[in-house]
Amino acid sequence: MVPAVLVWALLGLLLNLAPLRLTALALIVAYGLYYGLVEAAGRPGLAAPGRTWQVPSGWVDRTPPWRRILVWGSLLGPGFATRNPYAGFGLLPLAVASVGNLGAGVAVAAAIGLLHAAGRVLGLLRDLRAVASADYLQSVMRSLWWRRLDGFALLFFTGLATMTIALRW
Amino acid sequence: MAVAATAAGLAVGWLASGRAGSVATLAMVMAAANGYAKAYSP
Repeated sequence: MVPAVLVWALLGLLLNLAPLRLTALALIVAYGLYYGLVEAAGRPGLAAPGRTWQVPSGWVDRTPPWRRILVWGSLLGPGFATRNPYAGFGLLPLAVASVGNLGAGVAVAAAIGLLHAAGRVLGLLRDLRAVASADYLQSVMRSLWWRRLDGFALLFFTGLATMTIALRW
Repeated sequence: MAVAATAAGLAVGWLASGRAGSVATLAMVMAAANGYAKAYSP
């Protein structure tokens, strides 16, 4: 979780150095509308950012434990270099950029990093407990359910960002 | 459902009086849910 908070806080710093608030909100509208409709309708569409990214196996296979912990902690924890099938993850940096204030942007980004990593830990613990009864088909069905939910959440953010732009600009 | 989700976002944005912080605040909820859901990825 510590690398996740640090990496996200750095991202929050970089994304709030320039005034990107309006641009970020407009991108949230477009991104949320496209991927929201695609995911909610269960259609293939363009691959979500991060759908094909993952830590190369050569970085962790047959390496000392300390290196494995370092790679998995620093890359998997923040969530940028690991495969994520849900487009909702791509909206998070845009939400950080929409803050438009350096201090608040860093705080929001750090909180997002912490909560995302905490969610991953809870999900993995749940998977570990359910592994005996889980099969591949069940896992795919769960993934499809989460994808639809992610689509509705993206459409929610489209509406939220649209209203924010309409009332502030 | 898609229309209802978008309308809900519009309504929350209106209730929050267009505060840009509302997007960031709710993004934190999405971050936690995304991390939890990713663990299910086959």
